[in-house]
Formats: sequence, structure tokens, C-alpha cells
Amino acid sequence: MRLLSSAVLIALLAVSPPGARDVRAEEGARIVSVGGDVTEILYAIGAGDRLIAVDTSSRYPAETRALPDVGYMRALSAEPILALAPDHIIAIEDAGPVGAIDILRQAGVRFTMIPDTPTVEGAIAKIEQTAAAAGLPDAGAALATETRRRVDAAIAKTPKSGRKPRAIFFLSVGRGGLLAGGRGTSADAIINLAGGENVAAAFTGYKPIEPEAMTAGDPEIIIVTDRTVKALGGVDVILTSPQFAGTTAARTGRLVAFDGQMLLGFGPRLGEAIEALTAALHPPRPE
Amino acid sequence: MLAGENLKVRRGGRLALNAVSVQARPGAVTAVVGPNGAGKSTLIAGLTGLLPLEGGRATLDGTPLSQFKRQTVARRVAVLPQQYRATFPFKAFEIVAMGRSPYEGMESDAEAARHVEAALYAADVAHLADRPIDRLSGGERQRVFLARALAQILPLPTTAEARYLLLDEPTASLDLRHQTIALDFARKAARDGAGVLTVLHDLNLAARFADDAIVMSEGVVAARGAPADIFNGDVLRPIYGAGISIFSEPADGKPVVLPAGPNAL
Amino acid sequence: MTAFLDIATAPNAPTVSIQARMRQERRRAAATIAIAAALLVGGVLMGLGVGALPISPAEAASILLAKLGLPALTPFEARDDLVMTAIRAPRTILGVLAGGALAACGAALQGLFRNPLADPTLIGVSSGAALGAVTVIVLGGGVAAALPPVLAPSLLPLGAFCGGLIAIIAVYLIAQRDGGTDIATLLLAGVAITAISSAGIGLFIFISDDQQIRDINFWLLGSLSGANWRALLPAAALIIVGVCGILRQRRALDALSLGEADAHHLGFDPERVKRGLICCCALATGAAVALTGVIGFVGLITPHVVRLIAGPNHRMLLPTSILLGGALMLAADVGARVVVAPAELPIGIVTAAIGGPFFLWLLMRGRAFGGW
Repeated sequence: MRLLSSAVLIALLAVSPPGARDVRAEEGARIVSVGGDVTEILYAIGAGDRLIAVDTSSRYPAETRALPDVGYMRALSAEPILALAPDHIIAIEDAGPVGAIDILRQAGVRFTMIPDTPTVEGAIAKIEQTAAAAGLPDAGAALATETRRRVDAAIAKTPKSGRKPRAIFFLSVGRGGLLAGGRGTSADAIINLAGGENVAAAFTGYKPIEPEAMTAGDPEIIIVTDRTVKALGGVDVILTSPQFAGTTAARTGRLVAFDGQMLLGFGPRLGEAIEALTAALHPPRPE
Repeated sequence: MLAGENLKVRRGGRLALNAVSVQARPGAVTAVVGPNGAGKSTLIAGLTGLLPLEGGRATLDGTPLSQFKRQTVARRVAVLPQQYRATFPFKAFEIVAMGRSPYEGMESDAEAARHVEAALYAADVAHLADRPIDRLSGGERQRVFLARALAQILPLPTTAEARYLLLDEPTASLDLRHQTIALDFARKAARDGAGVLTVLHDLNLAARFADDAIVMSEGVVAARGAPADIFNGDVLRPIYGAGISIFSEPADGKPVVLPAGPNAL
Repeated sequence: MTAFLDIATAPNAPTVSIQARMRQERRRAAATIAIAAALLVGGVLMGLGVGALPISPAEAASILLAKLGLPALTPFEARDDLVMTAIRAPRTILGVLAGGALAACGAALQGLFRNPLADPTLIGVSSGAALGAVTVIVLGGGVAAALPPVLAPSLLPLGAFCGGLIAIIAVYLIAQRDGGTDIATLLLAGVAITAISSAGIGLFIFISDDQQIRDINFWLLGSLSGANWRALLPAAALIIVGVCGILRQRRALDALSLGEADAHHLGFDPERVKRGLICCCALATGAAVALTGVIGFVGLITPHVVRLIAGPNHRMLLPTSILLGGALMLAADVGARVVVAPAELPIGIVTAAIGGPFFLWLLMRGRAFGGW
């Protein structure tokens, strides 16, 4: 019976139009995914079983832990990646170095770079383009639609009038240094989407902020990632840190932590992120 | 003749050498004596071009040293500096062999080896030839460097051009026996035609081993002549202070200068 | 006491046979250099033959034969050809060049400073180059965008080279004294420039964002992965010029190790030798660091090991160190590529992990023997 169905399949393959064959070829492709968002999307559209390796920043979902790690996304090494015999590398923009990517392309590996813009439209485009790269446009469209639905629902819950609560996001680097998310970062974008006001909007990028500027800006809530809390030893350690002294957030103890990939990734869980952050920024007022 | 005429050298703002003239005569040992800071080592440095001259000139056979090529001078004038470093554990014979580097390309290996061997024996360090320099005592090390200086100006005697050996405190870390050996070495080099100029802090060694001497004080030459003539109270007391006793050695009449003892000043 | 100066010429004189000793030393030197060359060849074979992608020796040889237009021994895939030609070959060559350059500079600086612990980092070249590179990483985004894509990748090595050059010139000018360079001041100036560079790098790390910080850290730890043919050629030229300049001063280095006064009296010009060596070191190290980032310990350890095994004579020490430095660099690179595949460990970590404890061992051994 199996022999017959195989024979039928082969016959079908022989006569099917070229486009469809490409899609089927993609379906068997061995994919290396670079970038936490890209990996998350690939799993969400059901291409997870095609992944043969991921980069260090890909930690979600948990299945990624079992895959080989190709290292820091901007310091990829061509030869070991080639040794894994990939057909396709799907990478978030900013992957590098250029030399390694050139060699991989020369070796006949398909390389797709996915743009990364921290906006709702950017997230949708990311999902669609990643899915297209993986040869699963339909699954991608479905995920995009679902994501947009959740995002719209979350945004609907965001208060449209009234004062915007002052918030600030911190990224931890190395030995306890904290960088604030300024204008143009995904942290800034998500704070705005959740109806908050970014205290650090005076500068761009992730930079350390002056304690006096912190006091002047007086954030009511401090946002960090789960990893930061673990790295710095707990919520209390962060709140009692001298650089937050005098702020409303420190006084009222309002510090929230989220999964970093969800909060900043601008991927399929964007809706969840907006919802969670909105709830944190605008707690239900006691009656 | 290796000569310095009216040498002036400035160090740290003051004139360490103030119009000092000196000569190293082939066949003779000339001692340079004087208290600390008199300018003895500066004299060697100024004479050999290690320090720039503010005035005066150093000449070799009448021609200023600066007009010779460095290697030519190195083949005729060898210097044993007061301080030397041995950073890496070269073997004794390797150090002495460095003395032949001014002859690079001019002689066969056999010839170079012969000269190195002669120098090792002359300084009584032949038995230490294979020893790394850091495993030698201070005195042994000094003799190895003495051998190196000698290796530079071999072969002696030479009819064409005289060779010169300038020694800066060659007896500094040596015991009595080896002090004698080192200065005997100097005398024999002079006997074989070299002109030897040696800085000595010990007046008695100068009296016994030198043919001529200059006594320096504060950058100038205070006296010049044979030690027997100039090592007397009129010359030495103004320089060394009143606390010295000067005798005459009974055996040969050479002067003996000693500290007069406690409470002499 | 033995007769003066007659001893060697007397017919039955006892002799320590210096000539035999010198001949023996020469033979030992030749053997040492030959062994180092063999190790380098081994390193090259390892660098070309070992990697994440399995390529058999027959395939490797065939790839080479094909390049020369000769018939191949066995068929090979285009992918293997690409990996050999575009990845392993330039990388191996860079390893040989960078390892040789760092080891030559280490040996030269140790002789120049009369200090067995000197190395290129000490005179500020490496840290200056690092500062130059970090400046490009943090501030160079705008400039890189304005350049045509062909030139953009060379901005980083250019920044590193300029940084190294500025550092070495600054150090040299500071150390000028009475028309000469005081070695002690040179060392201290190098320490000061290194401190300033570190502060500068720290400042950049402070103001840079997450991505840049990771880029900086990666660059500071060193890697041979930046090897590509286009960048390799100019670097190779500079390194070869620098290393040849150092090789020419082998005898002078022997003399210098006795002290500058002694070198002067032996007929050398210490000032010229110093200037020449410093320039050559800046050239070779700057070019190497520009391509590989900061790789430590190779310049320090290699001459040390050679001295321990074969003695301090620079005529042997320099060529041996150059060859051995290349071999060590290639060995470290193989480790870097294989240990955490498919990622790659920065090679500076490997050299530090092996070099650090080894250096400690050397120090302890030195103390026990009462040596230098």
C-alpha cells in the first residue's frame, strides 16, 4: 500500500507545476533561524520541525534549547553553519558579519533577511515575510490576522483619554549596568502602544540615564525583563538601587517584569505584550 | 693616540665636565681618580660619544671621533662600562663573542673563536665559558665583561693602529686577588701596545698599576702626572679632605693613601 | 696565572675549544628553527584540514591541484572548495601572519626593553588599535553608511591601524629625552596610553547600546574570522615589512640586552635601533590587530618558551619565535573553531586560557631556579 502511495506521489510530483514544486521543496527545507522573533514566528506557523539550528538570542519557545547554537547573531561563523547542511537561513536584519553571509550565499544557501521595525505594521510584516520565506504564506497570513486581532483588542482596552502614566524601561548589561530605552527602541514603542509616556524619550537608543534626569522625569512604573530581575537579584534589589531613589516608582514599589522576547520582540505575542503592559500601567482603580 | 681636548659635558643643568683634557697613550696605563661625582665616568662617556659634548672634541689619532664610522671606532676602542646588565641568560662565551661583532663579515669563525678564547683565558674565566651569566658571582661576571672588552680590540699588538681599552671601575666588585688580576690584565694589555685608560676609585691601586694619572675634582682636572709625583697632601687634601694619611710604601716608595681613622676630621 | 694572550697560540695549549662550541650552537640553532618550521607546517595542515565541515586530505589536495590546473585525486563538492578557498585558506594565512607578527614583536620588545615580560600591549599599540576599532564600532555607523558598500568593511581595520599608530607615536614622543628615548619612560608612557585607551573604550561601552557592546566585546576578545583575501594582502605586506625590519636587528638586540652603553661601545647606534624596532613593531602589530582584534599572550609566551628551550641568542630566537608564534596561533584557532561548534569561541579566550596558567607556571619555575 505504501509503495503504491509513494508511486502516486512521485507521479504527481513529476507532473505538478513548477511553483507548487518549489513550495513542496521548501516544505522539506532545513532552516537555520537567526533572531529570537524569527524563531518564534517559525514555530508559531508550524515550521519548527524544520529548524536545524538557532542563534543565541532565540530562547522561545522552549524547544529551541535542544537545537545547536550558532552563536551571537552579528558574529556568525560560515563553516560550522555549512557543516549543518542548511538549505535556508532566515535572519533578522542586522545579522552578520557581511563576509560570512557572502560565503554562505556563495555556497548556495538561501539567505533571507527580515526587516525589523518596532511598530504594529512592522510586526505584521515580519510575520508575513518570515512565513513567505519559509514557504508557508497561508499559515503566515493566518498568524498575521490572529496577531492583528489580538493587538487591536489590546489597544482597544488602552485608555484613550486622561493622563498617560510615566514609565521607563531598563535593559541590564553585564555587571549590573542599566540602560534606559529611549526614542526609537522597541521599549519606547511598546510603552506608547500601551498608553504610557516614556520618561526616557529625550534620547534615542539604549543609553544610561542620569539619576537626576530620572528624578526629574519621575517615572511611576519601572519595566524590566525577567532576565534582568534574575541577573540583579530580585525586584527589591532593583527598587532600592540609588539611581531610582526619589522616584514615585521606587516609593510605591511599582516594578514589573515581563518576558523580554514577548515584550520587545514585536512578534506574534505583540497583542499579549500590549495587554499585559496596559494592565500594569493602568491598574484598575479601587472603587 | 686617543685624546679628549677641553671636553665639556652638561648634565642636569650643570657642567659635569669643564674643559677636561685627557690622553690614553698606547703602551701606558693612565688612571683617572677623584672623589664621587668628580666626573670620572662622565669623562669616559664624553670621550666615547655616549654623552653629547657641549664643547671640546674627542680625537683618535688626531681625527675627531665623530668622523669615524661607529664600527671602526668599536674595533679600536673598547669600553668596560661601570654598570652592565645581563637581562638574558647568555653563556659566558656568548657574551665574550659579542665583543667580535664589530668584525662581522671580516673574519672567519676560526679567527673569531681564537680571539674569544684568548680573551677568556686572559680574564681567567675560561673555565666558566659554558656557564649562563646569571649563574655567575658578581666578580666572575665582571671578569667576563672584561674579557668581552678585550675581545673587541684583539689582536694585540698591532703595528698599524693602536687599540684602546677604557675601563670604568673595573675593580668594583672584585676581591683583592681578582683586583690584582684585573689590573695586571690592564698592564699586560698596555705592554702589548694598547692604550689603557682606567677609572679607579682606589688611589692605591692607581699608584701601583698606573703609569700616569689625572686627579679630577668637580668636573675639572686638579692634577696630572705620575702617581708618585702627584699623590701628595698638597694635591689630595684639598680634594679629599683633611682626614687622609699619605705614606710612602717602604718596598718601592710608591705612595699609600689611607683614611686617617676616626676623629680625624 | 695563565700567560696573557699567548695561550691560544701556544702549540700544546689547553683549550676550551670555543670554535667547537660555536659550531655546536649554530647546529642547535638550525635544528631549533627546523623544528619550529615543522610545527608551523603542522599547524597549517591543521588549519586547512580541521573544521566543522569534514573534508578529507584527498579532497583537500584535489582542491589545491584543481587550482593549479592539475587533475584531481578525488571528486569534491563545490561547497568544500568554497570552504577551503574562502574560509580556511585565508584564515590559516592570517593565523600565520598574526601569530608571527605578535611573536616577533614580543621578542623584539623584550630585547628592547630588557624585560622578559614586555609584549606589544605594553607599548600601547594593541590598546590604541583597540580604541580605534571601538571608535569605529560606536561612532562609525554614519560614516559607514556614507561609504560605498565595497569600502565599508575596511573601516574597522583602518580605525584600528590609525589608533595603533597614534598610540605608538604618542608614546614615543613622550619618552623623548635629551635626544634619546629613555626605556623606563617609554614603558610608563605605554602604560599611560593603555590606561587612556581603556578609559576611552570603557566610555564607549558606557554610551553604546546593547548590540554595540556585544560587538565591542567580541572584537576585544579577538578572532581570525575576519580573514578575507581582499583585506589580507595589504595586511600581509605591512606585516612582512615590519617583521623583516625586526629580523635585520638580531645582532643589535643581542648587544642591546647588555645595556645601551654597551651596545653603543660595540659599534651599534642604540637610538636608531630603538626607533627602527618601535616602528616595525607598530607596523606589524597594528596591521595584525586591525584584522584580528586583540589577541593576547602569543607575543609574550612564544619568545619565553623559545628562550627556555633554546637560549637567548636573537639570531635563533627571532626566526624561531616567528615560526612558533604562527603555529601556536593556528593551534589556538582550531580550538576556537571546534570547542563550541557551531558557534565560534573568540580566539583571545583560548590564548588566555592556555597562556595564562602557562605563564604562571613559567613565573613560578623562574623563581624556583633563581633565574630571570
